Amino acid sequence: MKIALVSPTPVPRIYGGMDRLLNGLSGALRKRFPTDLITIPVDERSNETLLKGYYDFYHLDLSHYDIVISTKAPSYMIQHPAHILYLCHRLRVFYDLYEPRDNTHTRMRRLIHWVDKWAMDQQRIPDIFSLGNTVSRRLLKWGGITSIPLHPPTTFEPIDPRLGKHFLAVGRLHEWKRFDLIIKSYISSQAKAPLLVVGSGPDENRLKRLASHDQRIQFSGHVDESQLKKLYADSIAHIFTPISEDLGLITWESFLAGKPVLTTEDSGEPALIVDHGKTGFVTIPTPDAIAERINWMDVNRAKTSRMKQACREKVGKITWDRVVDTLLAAGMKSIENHKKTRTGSKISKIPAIRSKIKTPNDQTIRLLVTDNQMIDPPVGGGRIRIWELYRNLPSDFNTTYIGTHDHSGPGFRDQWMAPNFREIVMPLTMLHFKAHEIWRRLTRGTATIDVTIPLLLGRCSPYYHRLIAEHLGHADIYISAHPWMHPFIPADAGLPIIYDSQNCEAALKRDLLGNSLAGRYLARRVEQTERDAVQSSDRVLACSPSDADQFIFRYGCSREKIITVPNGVDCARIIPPSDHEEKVRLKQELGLPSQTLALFVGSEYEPNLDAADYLIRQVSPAIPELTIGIVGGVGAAWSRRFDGDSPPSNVRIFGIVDAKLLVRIYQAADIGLNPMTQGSGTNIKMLDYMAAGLPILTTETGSRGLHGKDGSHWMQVEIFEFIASLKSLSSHRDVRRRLGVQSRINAEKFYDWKCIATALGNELRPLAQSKKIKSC
Amino acid sequence: MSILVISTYPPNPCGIGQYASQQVAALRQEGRQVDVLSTNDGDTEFNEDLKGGFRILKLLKYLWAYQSVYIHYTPFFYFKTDDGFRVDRIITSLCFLVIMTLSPRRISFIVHETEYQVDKKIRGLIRNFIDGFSFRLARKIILHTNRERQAFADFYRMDPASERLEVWPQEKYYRRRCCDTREDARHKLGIEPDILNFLCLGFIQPHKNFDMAIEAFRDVKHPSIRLNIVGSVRIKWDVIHQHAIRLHELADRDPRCEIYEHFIDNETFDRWIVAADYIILPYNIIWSSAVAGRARLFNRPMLVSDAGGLPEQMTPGSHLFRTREHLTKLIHDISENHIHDFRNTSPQKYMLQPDS
Repeated sequence: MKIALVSPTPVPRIYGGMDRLLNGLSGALRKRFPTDLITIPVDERSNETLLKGYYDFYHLDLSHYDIVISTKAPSYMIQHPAHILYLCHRLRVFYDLYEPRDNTHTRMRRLIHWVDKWAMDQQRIPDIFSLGNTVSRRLLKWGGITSIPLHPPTTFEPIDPRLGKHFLAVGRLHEWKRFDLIIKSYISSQAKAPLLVVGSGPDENRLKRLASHDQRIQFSGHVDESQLKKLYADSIAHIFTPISEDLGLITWESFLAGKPVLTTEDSGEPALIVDHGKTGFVTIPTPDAIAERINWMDVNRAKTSRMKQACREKVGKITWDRVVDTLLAAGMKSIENHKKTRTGSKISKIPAIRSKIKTPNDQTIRLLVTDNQMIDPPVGGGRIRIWELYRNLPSDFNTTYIGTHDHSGPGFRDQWMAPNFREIVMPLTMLHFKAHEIWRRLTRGTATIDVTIPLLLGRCSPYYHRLIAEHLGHADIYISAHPWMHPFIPADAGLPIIYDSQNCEAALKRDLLGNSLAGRYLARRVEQTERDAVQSSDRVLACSPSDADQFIFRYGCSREKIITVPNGVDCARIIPPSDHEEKVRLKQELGLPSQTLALFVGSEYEPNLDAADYLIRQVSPAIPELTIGIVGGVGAAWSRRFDGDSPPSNVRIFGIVDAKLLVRIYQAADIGLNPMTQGSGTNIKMLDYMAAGLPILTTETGSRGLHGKDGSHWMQVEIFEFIASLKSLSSHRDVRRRLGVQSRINAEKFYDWKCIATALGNELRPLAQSKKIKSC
Repeated sequence: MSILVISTYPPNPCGIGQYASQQVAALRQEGRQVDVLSTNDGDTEFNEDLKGGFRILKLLKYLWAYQSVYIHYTPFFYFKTDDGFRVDRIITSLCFLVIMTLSPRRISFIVHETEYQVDKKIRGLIRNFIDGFSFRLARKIILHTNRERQAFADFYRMDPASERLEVWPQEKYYRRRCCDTREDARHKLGIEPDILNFLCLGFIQPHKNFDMAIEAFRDVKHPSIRLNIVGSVRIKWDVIHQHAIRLHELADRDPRCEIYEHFIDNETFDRWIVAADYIILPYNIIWSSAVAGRARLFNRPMLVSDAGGLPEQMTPGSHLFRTREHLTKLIHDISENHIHDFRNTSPQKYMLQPDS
């Protein structure tokens, strides 16, 4: 196996963070396989030389390598069947740092956007990784390209930290790094400890002039690494306030040195890395707010010093092994896919790729998750939960999912949906569908295919047994999502068994299956299946405390066995727009007036229908200056129920929309509405509103079971106050902004799938380890 | 349309299983819902042992759910063919009749091989009568050549022109699995580029008569010709092992002749065909040949014996022979006349035909 790592080098040649990254990555790759670092000089100073760079990479022949990893624009132009992109950044002057100059520059921007989008097409590069969330967000924002953030570690080797004597600001003195903000903040602070500014750059003279009146601020220029280690060791904290930084390896270096980082909300990746209050502070980007934190740290040096443990723990998880494992797994997958395309063979039933996909290492925890449905595309509550929960597990987890197509037509499928998530879906047989049809008729059309799975799968689709048997031997933990597949796990499987409930099925299906003889029989079978799943599993995952209570009450399950794993939201998918102008533009694109847009999202479900009816008949006439958007199946259901009634002119019914359009609607919206007066469980729409940074107006029923406070994270009112409150909220933009920001922070902290999955990972790890010890 | 295919199936080595897998791939590509029941523990939706006694009745569990059923038929799959099981064979025939009666006009037979009973005793006649009745209840009887159709119709006293008796060439569902040029294929297989290459391909069995091919080849003294025999012993019977040993002994006496005794994957199977100039099929007994079917896919000329439906499977440039001497003469003539021709032909690159 030969690997090529490709990257451009700048003209004129300047050594910097990129070189450190390439050296670290190529070194880590070489420990596994022969790796060549291939660079081509690219002069970005003129359009012609820049385009030549694109041309050079496009024609670079790397066919004798097995896997090629590109890094930075325009190295992703290379052509190779096993091409993995680990993106540092695109040409930022044409994206987030774009400032119009002239027509040529504008045309060039358009061209670069087009070429980059073509180059990163999924057909060319199926797996794109980025340095961090900020780069991923930019890819999503400009180009709609999805990528997986993968933090690289730093090669910095610190010395032991001491009690701090000074504040430190390290980096290239460039206006993008915003050292002027640090200096202004420091000047307005009361700190006694001096501020050391380390580094040099084009902004140096201006910064020195700015700091000339404050004797506490010292410039040390460029220092070598041994000096830098000492400066880190003696510092109180590191102040780092760039604008929209891609990664900021400096944050990791500071953490390695055991020093917290003070940064700002708009700093990009550092703001996402720093845990406020644990590994540093994240403030608003004003001198006063930063100065306040500087003062606190200056006075509380011992407390600040105690953050070192959390800092080192945070950075300890970021290793080259993890990066290399992830990239190589994706590379192996590409090689396998290419082979299939080349030989023209369809994906085999006994997946030949299994033996070839590299297991990252012996520490990897392999999960086998089963359910009766496919995951790709992840739409609908159940599928989204499985996809998001298991793909977001920490990097030492690897998930194989086995499901079935619950409708006839599609064939067998075996694919990696993510480097740590493999989806295997087998079709049910026609015999199975016909047998199910008999049950459906016997229950007068109420039996859904999941309910009959425990009865029919073994007899009518026996291939499932083979699949399970084949994969069970390689798993450390078995997870049954829904109870339907649970009966097919052998009792002597010899590994921890987990039941990932998504509802209390017995309660849900009893109502749905009706009163026919067959319906009652199936309902009893459902209850029995669920009871077995709950009682025979080592752990039970419940979506909400109320589900947990049901399992305890119905099946006598002990509370210790239950882990509450709430539903979440993918905060990287729904990103609030950067400014108001973008909202206005999006509204125009959607054909909406520029006035305030209040949104209600709901499926075709009775309580949603009542809420939609209330909004359409009562709220919209009362506030004509407001546009009310109704998204989802509820809109069509309302139109059907009140056939002939046309909604008022300020109501827009979108109907069911695809995921992309839904995100755009969220981004265009100004307020999220949830006037629910009945229902159970948690409202997923609330999580989406939060992720979209929308100020939310809700009833108590609407916000039930969610973490957050009235007034801080949403506005909670009684239904009779709803109209007045909405009027007030729509006229107070500052309140909306504050609620929206808090709402987003709440989503990121408590409901981002990553956080939820990390917590689940921590629960699963000891179970897997106990299994490994037993098998030893 | 929902279809059930009943056959042997890969990964276990079997030519009929290979045929069935390609038929299934093609049907699925057409958008049909196809499930497969394998009789040899293949990699399929269902597995059942259907051989002998009442076992064929297990099909009743499945047949009702499908609009159409294809049974890949060779007596060996469903009947106990040893002499000691004559009553058992009648029972199985009766069970077939039950199945055909309960699923009229839904089941089609793809007849790869059949044994025309020479047993004129009462049990043999009863069985033939029952089988004939069962076949009459089929939706279609599919054979691979007109000769087979005629023989089948004659034996079961059916009208050979009946629409129910169809001829599907072996290659109907075949797809190319190799896209090499002849030069590439030879390079990969270690065959010199400028020799005239004859090939015998397939499972090693006495009735395939590969020994006759070696002997005929040995009588042609031309130095620039090669004979490669590629195949494996599928059925581990002594007589077949002995035959394989004899082939090796014969081949060892001629340095121009090589035997590659191992089971090969589909791509390599096709690669051998692409690399060959002539494929020799010297079979004593055959109904129709899958090797000939695949050779037709690549338009490779063949030297075929006058057995079963082989003459109908010939490609342009192929020759028919009836005796060993005749084969020797053909090899000799080809060596003399055509040895230089193929060098001038432009290398042809084949397009892959993926299953799906």
